[in-house]
Order: sequence, then structure tokens, then C-alpha cells
Amino acid sequence: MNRQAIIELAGVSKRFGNTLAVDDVSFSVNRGEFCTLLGPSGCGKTTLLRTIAGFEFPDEGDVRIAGQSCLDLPAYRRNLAMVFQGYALFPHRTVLQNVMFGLRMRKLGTPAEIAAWAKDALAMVGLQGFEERHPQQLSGGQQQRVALARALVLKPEVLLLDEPLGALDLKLRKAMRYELKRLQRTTGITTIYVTHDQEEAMSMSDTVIVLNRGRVEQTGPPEEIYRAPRSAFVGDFIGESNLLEAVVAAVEPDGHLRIRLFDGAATAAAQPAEPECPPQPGDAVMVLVRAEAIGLARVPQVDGDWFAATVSERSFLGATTRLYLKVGAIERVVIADLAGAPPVWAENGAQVHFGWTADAALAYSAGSIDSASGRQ
Amino acid sequence: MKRRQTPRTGWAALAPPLAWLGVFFLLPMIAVFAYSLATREPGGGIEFGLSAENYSRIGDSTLYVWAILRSLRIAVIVTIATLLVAYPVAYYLALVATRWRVTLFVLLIIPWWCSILVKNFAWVAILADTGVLNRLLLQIGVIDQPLKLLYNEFAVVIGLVHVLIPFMVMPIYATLERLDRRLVEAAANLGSSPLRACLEVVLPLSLPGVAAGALLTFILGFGSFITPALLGSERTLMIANLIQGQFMEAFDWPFGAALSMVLLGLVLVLLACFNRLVGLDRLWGPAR
Repeated sequence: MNRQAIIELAGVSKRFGNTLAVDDVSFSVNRGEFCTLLGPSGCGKTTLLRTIAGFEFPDEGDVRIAGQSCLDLPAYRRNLAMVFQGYALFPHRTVLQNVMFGLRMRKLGTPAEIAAWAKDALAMVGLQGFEERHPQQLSGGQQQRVALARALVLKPEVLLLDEPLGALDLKLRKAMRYELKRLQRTTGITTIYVTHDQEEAMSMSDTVIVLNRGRVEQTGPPEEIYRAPRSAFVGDFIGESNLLEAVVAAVEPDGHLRIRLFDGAATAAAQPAEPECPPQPGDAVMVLVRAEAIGLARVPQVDGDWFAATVSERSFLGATTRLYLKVGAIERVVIADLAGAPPVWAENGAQVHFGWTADAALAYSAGSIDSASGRQ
Repeated sequence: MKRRQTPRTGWAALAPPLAWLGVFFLLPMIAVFAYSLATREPGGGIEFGLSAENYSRIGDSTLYVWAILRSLRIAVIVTIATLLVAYPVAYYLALVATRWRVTLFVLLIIPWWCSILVKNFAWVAILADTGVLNRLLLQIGVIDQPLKLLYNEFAVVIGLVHVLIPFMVMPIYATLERLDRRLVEAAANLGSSPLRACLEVVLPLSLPGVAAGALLTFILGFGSFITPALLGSERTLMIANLIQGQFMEAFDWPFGAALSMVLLGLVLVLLACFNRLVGLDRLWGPAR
């Protein structure tokens, strides 16, 4: 057993009626770690968080807090603090009373101490002077800070956050991301964060757990998840990627694959994503290529594999420009993110060529087509 | 986009309900008011006029003042007793029952369809000297004389509570149903036991529903006359019984009408106070 682990889930399953919301999930979160449960809606991430908080009880498996099974511990006896989606601030209480609530309930100090701590917590999130307001009189971002103060003031063993930034506008969301990360680092509190926003997950976490259909797809630091997605689903869900159907034509001596793609119209090199059981010639595979890994040229280059395409749309994204490339007669659209200003010749309707290096294309066995859902 | 309606079309749309209210509410009201200002001739006829005599007569006898005070007291007791019974029912229906909610609701509503007479007479059968309750108590030997349970204020209160429970359950249920469950979870997460969470969060947030239910129950209890007539005695007569007596037995319609107007006035004062404290829109709409 890992002595550092504060939260451990072992083989947790949870069923709602006929739906298996969580399917045999195991993971552990270390002390001081910022861990994110990331996945599309319905992947079971909120159910897992609610299971840790004690609002749901697993049908199978065990949940341990600091090494102790907590399945027979009701929610109000667990030393965890949660920030709810929509914040769940008490509308009949002032901001200060909201922050004092947990301290009072857990009888952590004298009334004077409790009021002083609550004021400190409000100051920490930058809300001095708002003590006597009611939550309804605050903006979304301010309510968010109250919810954070209400949780952090308890100095809980673990902070649970359920899509805490979901209700804020983009600008505020990015500012709060930084703020949250700063608070987490200064307090050193173990944090479990639930989100469907991959950017949030990547920018804040020490560890990301990618979930799909109630199962863990991959666990690891953000860089690893981005660079070496273990399934086509993960690669597709994180970052902007192209997911292309292909057939393996040959396995080369260096381990690289030759694949036929675009309905067999072209061949390219790719790297098997699961080297332990690489696909064999004739196997159907899904090939994942990051949008930023795609290079563009006016004429085919001598080295590597290049494909002819038509620029069907360009959209300016600031630091990058995204091109939508239509490939041949099959009208498969490939997206390419080019750093900086794109060449002038790559205008709408222009004939161009694009390609990638063999290492940038990851080939997954086609069983994972299924799990790659409908995202494009 | 919502377009502002011109006043003309607005009034046209309001015409049918206004006409309905005019014919079935305002006209009878005016008639009662006119009667209350009329005088009764010795022969039994009625002379319409603008006499305040009927109103001053109310103060002449302590009977009416006492009846009003007694009605207020019974209404207060009934409201409190109904609240104590109805709150747990509404709480269970809104926050605990999931599978059985519809069934339980039907069970709650069915008695509403049955006549108040039936519900009151049921209590006669239970509370009478030879009724179910007394015979049971005699049989197990707790008492050797039948208890006087019927034809007193106790019986009236029980009968009224029984009749008025749905009027208290519904508004409380409505506020509890709209309560954000995450608030209860947040309270638990912050360390409140279920009972503390109920006292600190659920109860305060359901007060508008409690106020609405209490108002309905109080007004209906205050003006009741069937239940005190069936389950009470001449010593528990309520103001509505006296009004009924003036119309149906003494045939003094002008005086009965004056008593009615006083009853109406008291209820309106109460509504005004409620509106000031809670807001009448809470009676049928959600809290803003």
C-alpha cells in the first residue's frame, strides 16, 4: 500500500437502474496532489466524486480515506470539503455565515475564533467587505470564491471540486483557474477536481484520470496523456486531433507501420500505439494525428508522405490558424493548426499538400473506434 | 422577444375573467354590503338604506365579540396543530419518498374529494361516549367512565385539523420540492447531521411555504361553521355559526350581513399583514 495515498478507490462500481455509471474503477490520490477526473458528460466522473464525498455508495469495491475504508462513514463524518457545481451556497445566510457554517457544525472553535477564521478565509479569496452580503447579491465569480472559502476554511484532508468553473464566462474561468491553482499550491491541500474541460485539466493537474463510459481510460501527468494517449479515445478527447480510419499494409523492420488511408488512396507511415501487441498487415486501425503535427506545403516534398488536398476553410485562432483540408474525392476533412500566419498561397479553395512525420501518427487497433464516440 | 401589449388588447383579454368575477363575486358582495346597511321592519320586511345600526349592534352583546375571539383562538390552535401534522408529511413526500410519492399523493388527495360532512361524522363515530375510542379504552381498562371527547372544543379542533391538512401540506410540499438538494448535501459535507441540516437549512428555506399553508389553514379554520356545528356545542359556537343563525333561524339578514362584513374585514386585515411580511405571491408562485 502506498503510504502517501490519501484517497484510494479499489474496484468501485455503481449502477443506477440499468446503467452502469461507474465500472470497476481503481485509482489513488496522493497527499498534496492535484488530481483531475476528466471525461465527457456521463462518463461517471461526478458519480465518483460523490462516492468519495459520501453522497453515493458503491455497489462494489471499496473507498479508503487515509487507509481506512469509509463505506460505513456518512457524508457528514468525512473530513472532506466539496465545492458544488452551482456552488450550493445557503441563500438564507450571509456570506460570512456561509463560511462559518462548517466550522460551527464541526464545532472547531469558539464563536469568536470561528468568526475570525471565516473572515481570514474570505480575505484569502479576496472578498473582504462582502461578509454581510447575501449570496444572491454576488456575481458568479464572487459566489465561486465564497464556496471555495467555505470549503478551505475547514482545512479538510481533501478538497473536492465538481465542475467549479462551469458557470463562469471564459475570461473569468481562465483567471479562476490560475487562482485555484495558486490556492492549492499555497495550502498544499489534496485536490480532486472534476471537469469535462480538457484545457482546465491539462493546465492545473498533477495527475489526470481520463474516464469514458464509467471506466478509466488512462491515468498520468498531463504531458504523458497528451504525448502518449493510450487509446484513440484519449487522444481524440484531449487536444485537437484527426482520427483517421486506415488499414495496415506492412510492418517495417524498425517497427513502424505502413498504412493505407483515405479509402486506400494513399499510404503513410505510422507508429503502433500499443507496441506490446502491434497490429498485423490487413488489420483495421484508427490513426490519430494531432492538428498541430500536420505540415503544409505547396508542392509534395521529397521526404515523407504527402497528400493532396483542397483548403475548404480557414479560421484564425490568434496564435495559430486552423485549416480545414478536404482530401481528394472522399471529402474527408483534416484539420491542421499552423503556428503564426499561414502562407498566403493556402487560401480558401487552394490546392495544397500536407503530411506528417511517422512518429506523429499513432495507430490504434480498430476496436477503439467504438470508444472514440462521435467526436470529430 | 416579448412585445408590450397595448392597453386595449390587454383589457380585452382580461374581460372574461373580470366579467366572471363581477357576476359571481362582486355582485353578491355588494348585495351583502347593501343588506348590512339596511334595517329590518317589524313585519319582517327589509328597508334598504344607509344605517350603521347593524354594526353598532354587534358591540351591544358580548356574545359576538366572544365568538370572534373564540374563532380566532380555535383558528390559531388548529393552524399550529395542522402544521405539526402536515410538515413531516410534506417533508417525507418531497425529500424522502421517491418510489411511493404518487401513491402517497393520491392517498392524501382522496379524502379531499369526500364531503366535509362525512369526515366530521367519522369523528362522531370515533369520539362519542359509545364510540370506537372510548370502547377501546374501556375494554383495556385504562378508564372506567367514558371520556367526554365529543361536542367540545377538542373535537372541533380535531375535526378541523383533519379537514385542513391538505391545505397545509400542499404549499409546504411545493417549497420543499423546489429546494435545491445540493444545499442539503452541502450541509452534510460541512458536517451537519441529517437533523442539523434539516433545522439549519431545510426548515428556514421552507418558511414561505409554511406561511402560505398557515394563512390558508387559518382563514379556512376561522370561517368554518360545519365542523363546530357537528362536533361542538353551543359553548364552542364560532362566528360563522352565529352568522348562519342570523340568516337561517333569526331571519335577520341585515344583521347577519353586517357580521359577515366584519368577518371579511378581519380576514382582509390578516391578508394585508401577510402580504407585508411574506408577500401574497408566495401563495401560488415560487419564491423569486
